[in-house]
Amino acid sequence: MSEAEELPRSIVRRVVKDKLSRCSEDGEISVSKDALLAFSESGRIFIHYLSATANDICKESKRQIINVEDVFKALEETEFPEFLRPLKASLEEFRKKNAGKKAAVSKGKDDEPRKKRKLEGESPDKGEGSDKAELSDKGEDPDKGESDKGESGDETNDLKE
Amino acid sequence: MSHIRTIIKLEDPDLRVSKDALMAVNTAAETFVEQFVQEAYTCCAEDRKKCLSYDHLDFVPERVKAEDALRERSAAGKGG
Repeated sequence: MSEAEELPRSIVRRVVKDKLSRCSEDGEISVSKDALLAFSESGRIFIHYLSATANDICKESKRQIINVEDVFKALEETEFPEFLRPLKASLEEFRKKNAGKKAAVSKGKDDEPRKKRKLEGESPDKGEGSDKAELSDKGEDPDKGESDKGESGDETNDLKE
Repeated sequence: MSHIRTIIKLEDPDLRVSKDALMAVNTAAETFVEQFVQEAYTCCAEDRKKCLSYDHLDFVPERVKAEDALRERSAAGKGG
């Protein structure tokens, strides 16, 4: 199995160790390599199982993109309803963080016209160069950005449904 | 999160997942592993051991050596 197909071992180890430290009051408990691998594999299989069920639910609703509600229904269907409460709580947190990021981004966009005015004063060659440098710093491909925007647009539309 | 997207797409490359749904699957998987660890720890504590080993995981198949598994498989194939 390739590394892309499995969960990152460091993250699985951290989750396991954190949970064990909360469970055991009397000292550190070590985890064997086989047990760690089993936790990792079980997590991977669970992801497959959950996403396959959510996909079926999504297809029944004649939609293209799996949304949160599909995952919630999938958890109930796969008999893990006890996960719903902590899941909804962490999702709220995630959405709040995202909202904060979006606000920061939109604030940055408001400042852009001022920057443009400054750039207009400079030579056109300089302006282009700085733009390219900005993209390479981010490690993004200008063409890729467009396609990503399209996809995320679909996602937000789907969530509104 | 990117790992989880990759795992999901392995089954169906055309499958599309919203960011929130991906986050939900991520958190659910984490909760699942935590619950699994909790139950394994209970078994480990009953055993009075300081090391959580594969044998403390009640819900996974028993370990079998590769050659034994292959021998069993070939025997089953001949029998069928």
